[in-house]
Amino acid sequence: MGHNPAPAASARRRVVITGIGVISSIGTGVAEFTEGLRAGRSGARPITAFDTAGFAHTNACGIPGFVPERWISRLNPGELGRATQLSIASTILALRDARLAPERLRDQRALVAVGTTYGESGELDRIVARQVASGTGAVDRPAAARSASSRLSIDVARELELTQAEAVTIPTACAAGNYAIGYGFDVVAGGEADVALCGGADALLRMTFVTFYRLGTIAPLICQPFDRNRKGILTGEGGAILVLEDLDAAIARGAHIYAEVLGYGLACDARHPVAPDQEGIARCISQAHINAGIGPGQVDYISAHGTGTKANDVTETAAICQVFAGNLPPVSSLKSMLGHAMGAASALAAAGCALALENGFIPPTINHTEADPEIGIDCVPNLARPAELRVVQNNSLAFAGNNAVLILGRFGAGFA
Amino acid sequence: MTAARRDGHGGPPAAGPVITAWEVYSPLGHGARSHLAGLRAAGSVRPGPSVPDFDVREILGRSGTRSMDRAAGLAVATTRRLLDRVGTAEAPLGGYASEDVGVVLGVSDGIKSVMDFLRDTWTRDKPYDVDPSHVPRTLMNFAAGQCAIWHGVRGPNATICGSHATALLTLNYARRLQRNGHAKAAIWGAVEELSADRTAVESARLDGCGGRPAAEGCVMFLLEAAATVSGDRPAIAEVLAVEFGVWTGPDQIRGALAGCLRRALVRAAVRREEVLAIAPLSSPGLPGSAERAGAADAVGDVPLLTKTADAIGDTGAGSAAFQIVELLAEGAGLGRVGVVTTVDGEGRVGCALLRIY
Repeated sequence: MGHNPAPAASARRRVVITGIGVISSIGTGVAEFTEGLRAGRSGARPITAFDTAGFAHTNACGIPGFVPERWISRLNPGELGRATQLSIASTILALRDARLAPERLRDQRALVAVGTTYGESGELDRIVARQVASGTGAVDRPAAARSASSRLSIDVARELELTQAEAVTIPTACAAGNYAIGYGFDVVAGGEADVALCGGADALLRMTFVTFYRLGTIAPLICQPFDRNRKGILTGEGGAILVLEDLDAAIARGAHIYAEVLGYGLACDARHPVAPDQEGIARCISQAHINAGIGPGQVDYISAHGTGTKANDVTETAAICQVFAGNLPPVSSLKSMLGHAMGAASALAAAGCALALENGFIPPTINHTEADPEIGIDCVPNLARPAELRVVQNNSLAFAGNNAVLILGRFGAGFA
Repeated sequence: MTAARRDGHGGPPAAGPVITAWEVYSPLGHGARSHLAGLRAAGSVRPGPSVPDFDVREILGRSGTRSMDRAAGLAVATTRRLLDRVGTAEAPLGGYASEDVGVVLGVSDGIKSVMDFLRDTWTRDKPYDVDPSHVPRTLMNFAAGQCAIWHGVRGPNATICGSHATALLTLNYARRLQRNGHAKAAIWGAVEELSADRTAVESARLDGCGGRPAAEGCVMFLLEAAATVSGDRPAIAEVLAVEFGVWTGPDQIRGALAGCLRRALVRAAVRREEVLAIAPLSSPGLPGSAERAGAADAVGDVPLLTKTADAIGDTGAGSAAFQIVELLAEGAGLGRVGVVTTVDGEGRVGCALLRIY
């Protein structure tokens, strides 16, 4: 294909995950989240975030118990949109998990990269709702102040007073978490930052629900990826931020290492604004393998994008089968448990992959009743499976044909 | 191998990635020539805040544009001009294979598209009684995806967002894509559209920055490896450094920007005497004066280029891209270093150092 593998592949620094911060519909923090994945817990519940009158289906994977004041201290949570709150809170959890005091990062070169789909569109909904109700064009000023998606990243840096940070929001829709983590990998591997705080955040929004409801892709009760009876997605929310550090620095400070980031790939379908494309996905997977310096035969587990829609699951698994021809590892979908947390989804899944490597299990595809004969994969139905994993692959696809695939390896498994 | 340059003027050969082409739609006109002519005449001509005579369906045709918003239309049209400049019928992407070229687009929230969509959810019979063809444009990565679809660019496709620092963050993302082997070249730039909704929401924000009147426009650049450019498409500028910092209170802006600039000078091994000019964001009020003071602290007393912002207004996510264009025009042929600075209203400071050929 004429692609150059990373020219500095041998010169680049090795990058490891030393902290994980997760706020999800199946648990907050590494312990709860790991337990949720292992138990195959479902985050599906009735929506309380907005009025669902008039909708035939009313389930989603929200986090009704999220209390931003528990985590955010320097900034005023009332002046932050929910996605920004989730972004900051996940970062604080990740730094605590990494045993890194923010003071220690203050004068270090840091990247804060936060992926999102809808950002703070929820605040624009507040503005519109009030305009319609009042019959005027008056703008809700506090909502306007909260409504910039650029704040998902900069407010992390402001909360932690990271004076030398590069704070960037990456709104590449439902692949955004992987984009942000890949970016963090490049920046740390290239020696351009000492630490990267990267992942994704999205809030459960009425707008998201309306959108996917109108597209006919909201499941009535549960999300059943790869199942013959699958009925679509459940919308969700969450935040997941990873702490990435250079391996030598991590060892020098005695950090716990969850996993190594081996590489990632990006590719664009350049075909359709919303429909996934087998060729684009397959090319992206191959790019990721080249970037990580691995072959398909080395991948022990694939965390699929796996939304549970008719279109996604068939197209994605066809692309996987195309690349892995006859050598197919188990493929599961964390969205069966977490719903579709949009820009946070692939960051949550990346966290799940790191925890799967660390703890030696494959997260299941729950809610499985009957295999779809069109989809010939082992989807790890319903029960987590013990497995000694060495290399795992995290897929993400997005509207606009934005594909991003991340490759993680068990640290010490010999990929130097 | 070193980059071929536009002429024989001074400066060391390029090692970092280079900008080899750019194109623009702005309130000063369609295309680089009109924009530069407008800049030269700035002061005597008073442009409006919008790109004149820019109707998406007239510019791009009626096919595939029915549900395209203005930002996507501007980005697709500007990219088309850029590719017309560097491509041929046989080599539409300037000689690169389609999967070797990335698109990196800086954007702000698509306020109008989102609010139009939301209005339908509140005013029609059912909340979900919305037009599904309006869904794609409510996503912030729509415009970048449209650039890829319209022009057949299949490499990495990314969208970047960071208030007035957006275009500098976008440049850095494009630089790293190329540096780390994800793409051989990157079409990158930034876009902002003008709408009543954007103006209303932004003026209701209390950040005290970007107080110029709202305007719109799009600039797209081509970024390539220095070693691959040749005589028929010489380097216009080399990217020496892109650097950022954070302020948490207005009294820190000056120091944060000065520190950011000093780090960039060290990283690029550039002495302040080499700096030809600075193109600052130049917001009115305290952020703008703190920006000027911080720049002077780090770089000294050099000319400040603010013609674009003075003439056009606040191009939001596109602003730093327009600052780069002004710098490229001012420094052409000199081989000296130009500096772009920004101070956004949210907490970012940023700068880029470019050697302009």
